Amino acid sequence: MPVKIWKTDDYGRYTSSIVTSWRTELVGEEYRVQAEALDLQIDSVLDRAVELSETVSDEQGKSQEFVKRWAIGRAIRESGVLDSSHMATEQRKNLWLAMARKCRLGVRASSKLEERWRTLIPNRELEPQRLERDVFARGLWLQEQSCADAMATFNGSLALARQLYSRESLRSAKLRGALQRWFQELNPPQRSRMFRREQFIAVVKTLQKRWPSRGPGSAKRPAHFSDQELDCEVQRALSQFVSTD
Amino acid sequence: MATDFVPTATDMVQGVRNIIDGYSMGPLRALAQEPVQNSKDAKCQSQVRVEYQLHQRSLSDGKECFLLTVTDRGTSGLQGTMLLKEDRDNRGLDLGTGENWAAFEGQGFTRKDQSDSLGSRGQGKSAFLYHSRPINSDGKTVNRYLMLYDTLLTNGEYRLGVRYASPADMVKEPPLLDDAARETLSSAYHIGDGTVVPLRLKPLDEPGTRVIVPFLSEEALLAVRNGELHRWLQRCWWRAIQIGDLDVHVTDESGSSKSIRPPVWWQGEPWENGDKRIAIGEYIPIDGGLKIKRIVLSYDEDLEADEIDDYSTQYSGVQLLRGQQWIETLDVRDFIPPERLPGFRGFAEFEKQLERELKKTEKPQHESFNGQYAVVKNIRNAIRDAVKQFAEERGWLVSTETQDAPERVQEFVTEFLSFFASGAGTTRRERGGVSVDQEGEHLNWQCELLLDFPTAKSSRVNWGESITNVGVTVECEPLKSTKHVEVSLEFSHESEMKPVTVKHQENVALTEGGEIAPFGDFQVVTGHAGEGKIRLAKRGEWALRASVRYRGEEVASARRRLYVEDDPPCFPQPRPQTVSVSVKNISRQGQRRINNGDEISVQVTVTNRASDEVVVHVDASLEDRLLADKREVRLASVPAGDTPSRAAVVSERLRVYTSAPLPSSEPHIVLQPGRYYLRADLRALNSDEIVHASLPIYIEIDPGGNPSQLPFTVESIEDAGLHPMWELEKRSEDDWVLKYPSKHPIYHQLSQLQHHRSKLAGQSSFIAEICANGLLEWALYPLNTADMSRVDQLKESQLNGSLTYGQDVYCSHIDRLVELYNSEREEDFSTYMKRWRQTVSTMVNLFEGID
Repeated sequence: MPVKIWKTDDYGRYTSSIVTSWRTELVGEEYRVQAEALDLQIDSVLDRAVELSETVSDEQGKSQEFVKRWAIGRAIRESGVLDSSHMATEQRKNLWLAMARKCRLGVRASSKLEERWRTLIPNRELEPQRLERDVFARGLWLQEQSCADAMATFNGSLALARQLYSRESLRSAKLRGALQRWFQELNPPQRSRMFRREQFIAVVKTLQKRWPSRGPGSAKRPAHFSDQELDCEVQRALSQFVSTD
Repeated sequence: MATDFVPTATDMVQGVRNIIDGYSMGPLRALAQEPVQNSKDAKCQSQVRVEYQLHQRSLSDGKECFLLTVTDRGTSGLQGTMLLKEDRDNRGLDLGTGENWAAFEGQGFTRKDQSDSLGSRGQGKSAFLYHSRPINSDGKTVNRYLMLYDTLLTNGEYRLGVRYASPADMVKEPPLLDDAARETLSSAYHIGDGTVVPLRLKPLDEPGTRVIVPFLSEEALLAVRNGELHRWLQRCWWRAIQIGDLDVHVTDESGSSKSIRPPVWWQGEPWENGDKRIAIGEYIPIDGGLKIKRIVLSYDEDLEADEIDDYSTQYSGVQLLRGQQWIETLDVRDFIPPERLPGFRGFAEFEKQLERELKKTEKPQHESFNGQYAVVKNIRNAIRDAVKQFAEERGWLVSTETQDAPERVQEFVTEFLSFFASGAGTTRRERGGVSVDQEGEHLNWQCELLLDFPTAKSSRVNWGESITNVGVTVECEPLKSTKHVEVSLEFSHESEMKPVTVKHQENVALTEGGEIAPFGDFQVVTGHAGEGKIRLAKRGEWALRASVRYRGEEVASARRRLYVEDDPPCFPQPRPQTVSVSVKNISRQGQRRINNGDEISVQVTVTNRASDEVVVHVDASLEDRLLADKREVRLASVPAGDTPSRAAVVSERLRVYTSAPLPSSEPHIVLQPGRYYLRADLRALNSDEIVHASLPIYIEIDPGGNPSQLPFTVESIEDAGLHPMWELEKRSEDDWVLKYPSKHPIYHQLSQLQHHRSKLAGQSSFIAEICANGLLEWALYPLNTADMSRVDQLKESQLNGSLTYGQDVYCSHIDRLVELYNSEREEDFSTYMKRWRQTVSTMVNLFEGID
């Protein structure tokens, strides 16, 4: 699906261009109608993300950034925008770019400003492309669990979530479920220790050793196990972290 | 809670975590970098001295805890007005030069002088706070951060401040002053919520600042003890230390102090002394009159890599220094070969005007520049050019100005590669493949050649002995009605030009479950071949080949080898089992890109070369679809010298969708646009070793670099000079380029490619030879994990059906080459090379023979 990429020119005026993977005669402009329809749909996605972010945040009262990231992913999923037949042949990175620009500029399809969207993505990053790819793709990944489960898996820390997400073979929602169950079985001091950055990294590295992303041993992945099998595998792989207590 | 703390609405605990999460190189680099940078910014003497010191203290319950103090001297101290929160709010966010105390206590301030010194953005404070893990009265760690800071000003004034993130950001107001501050430092500090910080520190005796991190984190404690903090300090500050601007010490709890020194390879500024290991470029202009002051590159073969694991490269590249501070390291792997990288070092520093420009592009974490700025791009390009030249001068990097080969060469190469490795053929020559029925239906064929040698462990047959129970099994799926096939057997000697057809069976009727075409026994003789005999008068290697034809088209074949009056060669095989994967686009043959709705054929095959029967387990998957789960496969024993035994573990056809289709009974897989992998692992019973094969597939995207299903593209090297006749370069996992020098004297002397009676006239012969060599190198490359996929692709090429004998020889050579590759090549090196040359020769002959 062609997307509308908002930007501002040197005079501070809002401008836009159309970007697509579809074949074009000259430029993406020929798909402006479709792109603007999607732009309007993105408005609803971002509104829903803000709404979810506030609602869930009240319930959890915990890590705001984590909840925002989860909420934006859940809003995308709920909207069905990815299931559109138009997206079947479009790369998601274009959609992420369009959404990121709308957040960063806080601009609706009607060109009216929407300040609330600016808080949906972090602002301190100076390398927007990497950030944009990470924010939406990771949000979508986080929402594969309920917010409460995702928070429990990563102790509400995006940094810890990033450790797992960055290892391709460990991205399965099943593994996150198994990991969460493993954490729950620990006593509170043990659990607290596991959520320390350096310890969590050690846990993730151990899991990566069990399920490498490439090369020998990478054919059967966490997604291929039943929950029960996976629980056993995780317990076996991580037993070293418990036995030292 | 202490009443003299002024809380703010900020969740400082989360804020600190967010800031530290922003450091891609971790909290220890932050701890090494931010405090020293703050001290440098407050410098008032020629040299700033910074000391990191560990202190061990006991708590009231007898447990031990640690403080880390970071003390600077030669600085102005945290001078300036002590603003209360109300005053700070009234001042907005602006602070003037010299208002260091307010800047250090504030959060989110900007400086009128546009600097962010003393951590007014919060980076510095977070670097300290993050490493403090206070414990409550029960001795348990709480989700809070704490730090104290004392300063002695040049006017004698003494201040002690406290910041407590609980998680609200709280600052003690007013701070403790003079005697009260000194008294607290010498005893303990009571926060007011039951937390007591044992200090027992001597007050500062000269102007400067000290930050105290109580209840030090295990990570930081370990880093002080094992030297990781020292290593980060060296990486960040070696140049400032070298020129005398900075003196940094780390002291452990026993009082043992270590001075941070420049790394050994830069000690004594060796670039000033004509050291031949070093190359230096100075005052290199980039755009706008800005200049790189110095690029220094060094290679010392005795040097080992010095990198802190799990983070981006620190030393084995070119360090970019701004203000004598390390900011980032430029990756040089494009130019420096992997085996040279451990001994390679480099750094670049900049003229003042360029430093000012660079500072604007620096990220708040001071660990990288923003590459979107032109100035950063220009600097990186200039440094890359210098590194490239450095590598070329040492002969590590042959300057290869390449361009796409001329169109006529491209066409020829495409023809050659398609002949041997298109992967698009409808016929699989190894045992079986796919054919299309009259009704347009795809049929999968399999055949196997069964026989018994006189002895079970060897394929040797002496004259007078028999090979017995010869039979050909044939299977076809789906088999909706009886099909009639022709099955024939032929022998061929490796030195003979023509095979001998010995038996032929027409109208073999296939019914469900397959059929065996029995051929009985053959006695091998040298004289007249009567009934039940076969004349194989030459000694040496022979091949027996079974061919299955359906409606005139060969749909499956199988081969066995035998050695007449000769012992078969024996190559010890460290990895006797191999695995091979293949994915073919059935809907659009020859296309690597798979579109929504395309049907693909997925195959996983395992091979055994061992003389014993073996049981293996195979896992195979295409992303979330598990194709084989520890599937047990029994592989027949292979008499020495015979063709390896094979078995298909997975043979599936799947429809690919990019979103879930309507309910369908047709086997399918849903994959979003992108790149995915077919993977297979093989484990032999009683062995821990895993043999692995994988193959990328592209859904709704074009493969990068080489969109065709051909193994590689071709480029010509345009430079004059000495180049190998051909070289195969891996640009990415599945993007390979074959390069040849267009000014090579042999190539140059040959007439240009043109239409001619011979396919190999003029320069075509050169291109054909290098393509054949390139194909072999490309196919053997993955054998390090026993991945046979590419070898199989070569053997399954769409050779002309009338050249079955040549194909046999070609496949036999390739099989031998694999065996020799897998064996100890040192011992059989000449045999290996001979086989290589024979294979190339056969390939060229085969190619020449078709029209």
